[in-house]
Amino acid sequence: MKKLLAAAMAALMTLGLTACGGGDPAATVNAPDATTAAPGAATQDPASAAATAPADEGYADYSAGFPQKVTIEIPVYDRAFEGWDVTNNYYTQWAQSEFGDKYNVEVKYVAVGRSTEVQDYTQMLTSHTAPTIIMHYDMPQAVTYYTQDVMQELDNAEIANYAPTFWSYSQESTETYGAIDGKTMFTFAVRPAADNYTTIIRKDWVEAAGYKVEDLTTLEKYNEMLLKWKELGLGVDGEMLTQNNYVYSYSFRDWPNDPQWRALYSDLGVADLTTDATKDWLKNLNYMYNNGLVDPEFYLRDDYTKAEAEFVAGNVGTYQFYIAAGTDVFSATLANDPGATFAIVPPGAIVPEGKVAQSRGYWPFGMIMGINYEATDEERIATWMFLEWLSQPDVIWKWQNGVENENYTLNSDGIPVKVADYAGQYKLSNNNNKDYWCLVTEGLRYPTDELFDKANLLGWAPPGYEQLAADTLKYYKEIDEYRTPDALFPVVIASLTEYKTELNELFKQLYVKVATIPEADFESAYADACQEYLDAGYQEILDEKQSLIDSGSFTP
Amino acid sequence: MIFRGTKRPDGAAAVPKADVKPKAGLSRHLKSEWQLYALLVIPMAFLILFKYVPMFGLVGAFENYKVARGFFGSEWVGLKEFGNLLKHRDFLPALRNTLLLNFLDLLFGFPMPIILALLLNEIRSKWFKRVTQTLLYLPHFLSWVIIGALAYQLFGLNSGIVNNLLESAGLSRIPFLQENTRWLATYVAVGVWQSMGWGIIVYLAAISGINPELYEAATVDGAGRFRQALCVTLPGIRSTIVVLLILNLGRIMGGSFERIYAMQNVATTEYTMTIPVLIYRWGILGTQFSRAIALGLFQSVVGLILVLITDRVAKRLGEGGML
Repeated sequence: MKKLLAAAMAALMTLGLTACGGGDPAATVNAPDATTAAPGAATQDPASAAATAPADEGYADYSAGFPQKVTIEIPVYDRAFEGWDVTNNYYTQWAQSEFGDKYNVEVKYVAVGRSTEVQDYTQMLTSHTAPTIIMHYDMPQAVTYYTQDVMQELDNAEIANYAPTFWSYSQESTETYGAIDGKTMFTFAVRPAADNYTTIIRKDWVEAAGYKVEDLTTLEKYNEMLLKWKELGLGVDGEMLTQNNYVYSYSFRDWPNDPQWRALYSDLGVADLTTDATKDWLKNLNYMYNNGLVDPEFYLRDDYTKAEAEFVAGNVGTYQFYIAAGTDVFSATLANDPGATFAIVPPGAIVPEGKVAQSRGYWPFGMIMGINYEATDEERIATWMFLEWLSQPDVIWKWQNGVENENYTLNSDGIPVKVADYAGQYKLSNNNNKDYWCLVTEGLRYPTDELFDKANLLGWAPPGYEQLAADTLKYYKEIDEYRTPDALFPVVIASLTEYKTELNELFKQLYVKVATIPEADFESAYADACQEYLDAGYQEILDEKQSLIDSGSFTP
Repeated sequence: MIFRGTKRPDGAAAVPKADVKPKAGLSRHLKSEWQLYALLVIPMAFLILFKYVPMFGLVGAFENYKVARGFFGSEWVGLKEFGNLLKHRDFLPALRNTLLLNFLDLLFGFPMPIILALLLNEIRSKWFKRVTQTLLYLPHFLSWVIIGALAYQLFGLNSGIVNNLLESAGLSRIPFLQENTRWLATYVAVGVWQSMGWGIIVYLAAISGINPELYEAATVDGAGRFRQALCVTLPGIRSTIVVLLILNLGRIMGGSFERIYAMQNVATTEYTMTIPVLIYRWGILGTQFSRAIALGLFQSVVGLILVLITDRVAKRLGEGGML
């Protein structure tokens, strides 16, 4: 008996281990050129031809469902919200029952860490487990995925055929920005003009220093106030490690600026360390550091949680974040200091005298999406059909708001007002399910600007802090004319792909070194840093971009 | 059952081993002990599947590897990536730092478990010995992410508990983790603390195998506890020390990615760029798979060479070696 048991164990475990091996990736590669149907051609395999009839445009008609079960894997950002199962909850089950079951599609959600998405995607792609949609918010990284050949070429007519509502929103962006090297590789979610990224400040500290928040109209005045904070022992300016998205130097740039200059230096993927704007930004940071006006360990605050902890603890007086109704930053700060009051930092407070409050403008699209090269025709089509379902007004309404009289009630304007602390079965994720519906839109959509603003204010304002949401919106509109998007290049910038990761690491090291050096050594340290940065690949990027700009190959 | 004795149970003389035909013996042996061999299949399958099969991926070092094209479809570039690797500005600093950090770990971390094992061996109170051992083991089970966070909570310049205590005592704050040389010292000290307890297990096992008569003889000769530890215990575990030294030298080109990643910060980067960090940066963050694989292969080959050299030296010095 023991012998048999031992043999059985060995066989079972050996089989289990060998089952871990993957298939031959080459065997599963989908060659889009060979298998993707051109407009006018049917895409179904012969065995299922009887079950589906080609539509007029030549695309197979799957409106009655796919003859054989199709599985689509939809990525969703996992932000580690407590108590929230990101891939299995009421709404993911609802997607399956409402969309999946109707069309014989299994809708499988795949969690992607929000702060580790590139690492997660890289590992999933190399192990052939990446979801059907490959997505990213920023074009430089989306292009990096493209250079690895992990996305298939898209057929605009096919999207229009299977997802007409989605296409009506994304057509312009896709046709304008979706092509790389002459091939359509990306389609996009729409992005309504709104931004809830803001900086809050301890209003009680500002007033204790003898200022009013609205008086902080220039960087010089703001620094004066920080000196007062220091004298009074209140705290310092909050600062996070600058990394990945390089938008730090806008307020130090000249205005107006040349679109070609912007195309050369403005880039989310790589920092413009060598520009005068960056030098001025660094000089100010260096001044703040050496005079004790900024968090002395700012370079350790490499995520929002750490920066928020400093604000909540009362060590720093400012904190940048995406303000939302569900935020706990105010209640947590008040628990430590019941006398704390808050305000929004005016945009001028980070702008030197003589400059204007510039800012990076979003591209007119939200999420950037490509289709996994391993997805079959049916999986790709099912994905378009899923995006079409998600784009329906009643569907996205439910994703964004939940169920009436459970999650929300309607006010007189017809805008949903969230039921405070709702914890029933229809509970939304902590950011109103944004990570599910961001595939089709980056924000709420309302028929008029007035309703749009009102709805945003309700979504951004924590109870009792409506003024903060209103000020965020007011300041966003104030600097609208000074907001400029990055240029887009229709080809891959090879040197950018080659050096981006290393330059990102190097930038962090160099800028922290220059910012924390004694003021007297600033000029030489900055010059050395620029030279090292240029030698590490930035010069090559500038040269390649310049040649594209000279030939007019960019969209300003 | 294998018949091992010089005399068979029935009293007949044992068949000399040399007279047994190996083939027949092996076949009978396999037949009678097949259950044990069946169990051996499990670790063998594990070893082959997870240690040998992945080596096929090393072919990527000689290709311009693209995920979508796979190992069979990617362009063959020969030794090009190795050339790029050697010319890369980060390669030499990474090589230097890897060797430096591992050498310091070896210098300070390797003797600590030996010293601790010798000390623990002298403790006569069993409960005290067990409690001490358990406390020494515990850090080994903590993840480096936790240890890294603890290190900054304890040794951070502005809010670390140690610095707060120093300031309360009227002393100035010390940048344990925010100045390059001090970071290096803290890194090594934390590593020694984390690993020393786990390392004593092997030495205590080796000590338990020393013949007690040797201690009795030493006592008769008038040797005290210290002399016994030095002249009986230490020579008794010498071969274990040599084997572990060879194993550790094989890792001198390796090093823990997690440990550096958890303890690094961008203000002190002089020693944090190591080969594992570079592999992560190139492979996972930068999707430059071929270069990352080439660096990994370089690291492994140098590690293997070091093991072979050490083994040869150990043999020349009269030890058994490993190979």
